[in-house]
Amino acid sequence: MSESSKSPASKKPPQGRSRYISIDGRALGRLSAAGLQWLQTNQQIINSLNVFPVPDGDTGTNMALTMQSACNEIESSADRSIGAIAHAIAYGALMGARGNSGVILSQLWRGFSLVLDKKDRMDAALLTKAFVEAKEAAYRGVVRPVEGTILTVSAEIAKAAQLALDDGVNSTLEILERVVLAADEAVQRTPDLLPVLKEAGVVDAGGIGLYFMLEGMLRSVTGQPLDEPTLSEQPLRAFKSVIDAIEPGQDWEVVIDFRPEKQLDVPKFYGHLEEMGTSIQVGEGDGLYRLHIHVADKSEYEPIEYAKSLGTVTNISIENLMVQMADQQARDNVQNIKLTPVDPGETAVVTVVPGMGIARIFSSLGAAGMVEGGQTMNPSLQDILESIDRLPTDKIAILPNNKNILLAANQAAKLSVKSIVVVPSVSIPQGVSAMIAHRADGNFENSVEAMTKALDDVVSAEITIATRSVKIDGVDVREGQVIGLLEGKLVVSGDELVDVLFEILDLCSANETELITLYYGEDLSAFQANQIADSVRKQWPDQEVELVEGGQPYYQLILSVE
Amino acid sequence: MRSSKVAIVTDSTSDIPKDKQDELEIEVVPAIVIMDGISYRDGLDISRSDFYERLPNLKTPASTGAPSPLFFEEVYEKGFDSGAEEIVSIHLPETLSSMIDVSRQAAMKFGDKVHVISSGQLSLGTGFQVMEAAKAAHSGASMQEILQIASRAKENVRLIALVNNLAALKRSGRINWLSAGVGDLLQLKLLVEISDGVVSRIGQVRTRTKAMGQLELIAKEWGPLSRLAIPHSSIPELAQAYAEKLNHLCQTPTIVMDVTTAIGAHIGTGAIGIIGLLEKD
Repeated sequence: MSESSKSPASKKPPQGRSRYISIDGRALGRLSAAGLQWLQTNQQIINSLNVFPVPDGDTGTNMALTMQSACNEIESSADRSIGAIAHAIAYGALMGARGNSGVILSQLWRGFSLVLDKKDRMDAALLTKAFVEAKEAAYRGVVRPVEGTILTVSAEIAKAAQLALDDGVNSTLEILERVVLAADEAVQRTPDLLPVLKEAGVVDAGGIGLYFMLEGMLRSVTGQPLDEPTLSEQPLRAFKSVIDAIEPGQDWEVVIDFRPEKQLDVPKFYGHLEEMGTSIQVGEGDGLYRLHIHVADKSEYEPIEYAKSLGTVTNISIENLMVQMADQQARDNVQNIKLTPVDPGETAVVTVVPGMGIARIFSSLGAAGMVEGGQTMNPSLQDILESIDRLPTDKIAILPNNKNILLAANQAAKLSVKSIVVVPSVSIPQGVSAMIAHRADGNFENSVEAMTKALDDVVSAEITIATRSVKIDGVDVREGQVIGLLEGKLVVSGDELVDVLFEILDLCSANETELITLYYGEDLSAFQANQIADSVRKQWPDQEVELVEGGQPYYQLILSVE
Repeated sequence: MRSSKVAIVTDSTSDIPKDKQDELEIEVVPAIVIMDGISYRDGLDISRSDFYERLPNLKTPASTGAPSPLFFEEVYEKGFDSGAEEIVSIHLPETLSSMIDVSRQAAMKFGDKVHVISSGQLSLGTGFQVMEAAKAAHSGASMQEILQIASRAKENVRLIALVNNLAALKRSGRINWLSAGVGDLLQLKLLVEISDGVVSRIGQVRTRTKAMGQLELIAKEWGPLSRLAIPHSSIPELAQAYAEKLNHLCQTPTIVMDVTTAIGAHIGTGAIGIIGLLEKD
């Protein structure tokens, strides 16, 4: 495309825009940093877009962490050409890829960077080509592409870029403008393409993450702020997942729900809070405010008194952060887990574990490597690779134990120089079943075959608390209710855990099986778990019922029948 | 007087049914089992069914032992008195019990007239070797021939089993690979194989159904069998049904029996196995 062939339809670019006719590596670096910042700002919004009302692999967090890793890599590149910077971004994204959306994002960057290889600068035509190749790479990276996801958004982006170029657009900035518009529209259309999204009343989280990244780039060019979200958050829910770094002097976490009598004077309100403590977050919904603050010892009642002076307080929660943190550290030290040593040439298993109890179980079954992670904390590709590289053998099977980690595990298998096989376990019971079938001293192929076959030996189910009200797969769920998922599908909701558990066991035809295993999570005490197990034993007297401490977060129970 | 010149002796851990003992004139030294401090002679002072009934309710875990050498001497004397010129005494290996050491000790008294052989096996894994030797002795085979036949039977015998009470087996201290954490947190059913006196793990599963399915697949690979047995620890109905299912693998009737107390004391109830003698000539 030559400079002179401007489309009559295109608007006259404002001042300063001409420098975006083509861009260099430095500019791409700045844009990426802006994309990251905007992703971070909107992280909680993206996280809240779960199809299932369960704490899911937080897409926003995953994408932001993936981009964070990408941006870190930019700094280590001495070469400032666009080819080198794009390559650094792609490499960093890949190494830091978390969750399915993170892996796909890294694939997009990979395709994007391929086109820019050895190039100094990027013009509109090259940018368009990069968007097209990004889409191609992302689709290639997924075994069965699903429309209505981030993939569709990437395809619409590529199409919009191509259309713009055909229209005679000749600046990278204008291509970006067109692309952001198209991405927004594509995101809004995702529920039409993917029925589960429509049913849940949300747009695709990965898709909107991609949109935010590109929108952030555009906002940085046009001088719009990147530190305040423009969409309304769903704050009442978002706070639950906020895990702050705890500093000295922040001994108590206080969360107060209150309804102010009069219109809140926001600047004054914040001013008061800042005098009291740190980590202040305030959410509003239907006139109800939720205030979250960290305060020093002996000040824990100050925010409550203050909220009372403003209106009616409906709910208060106070937690001792120091005690919480100490407990956490003692419990969560997977370093203390004994791993099975392997010799060169032996076959080994690396497994992803969501809790200490589960880690201990895999340890007792002979796992040689462990990566912490699960539903809400998807390990990065690098975490998995490191665990593989540490082992002195090159025959390693990976058990992802979660559908959100499957893709990262597959990527790790592809990237590693060792012969890695992913045994596609999507639940803890499947992982345990496969682990049991593993033979360290046997032939690797046979062992992997036996492990893969063993995945079908168990029926897996999970019990958790609904994070929001929704109707999905014909099941009506209210926020806070107990819900049961069978093989990852929502099947039961109810008010009592035991009722939901019994219904799930009925659905699994537990009476025709031999063994019911209950892995209880960190939210249940051993005493509660024992009571639950006893009631199951009473109801299913012909079955063996085994209760095991899983220690997994969010899921009160993970269970299997076989 | 006995019909053969060579008498065949074993101990009660070989699990040879009473009718076969009588038919083949096999002399059996009883193993000793100790329950809550009291010693019983296996099969004489306590029946297998009584043993398994009491096993889960003992105050202290059951233990087992070899009888005194005097028991062996008595049985050997009896053999010679009844007209035998030589004796072949076949027992479970020293890796798993002291039985064979005691029998060797007793045999010394008779010079080279008593040949003590290790079966490298347990239960009817030993029993089948004993029965083959006794059959040969009956048909008038020479000492040399009997030893050859016993040795061939040793090569052709197969034993696989499911063990589900790992706690008891660990306590026995007889299986060194079982020490480290196996089945501590999550109960497991181990599939084991015994060969040449060594117990090795061939697999592990979580349910008995699956375990029995896998054992069955392995047994089917063995090829035609001349003898087949289903030893179990106190699950007779299940064992009987299993035997009927596997009967077609073998021409002779399948033997189903409560496994020897020497094993039962270490693996508890609920275990089951398959013992086969390959039909090879």
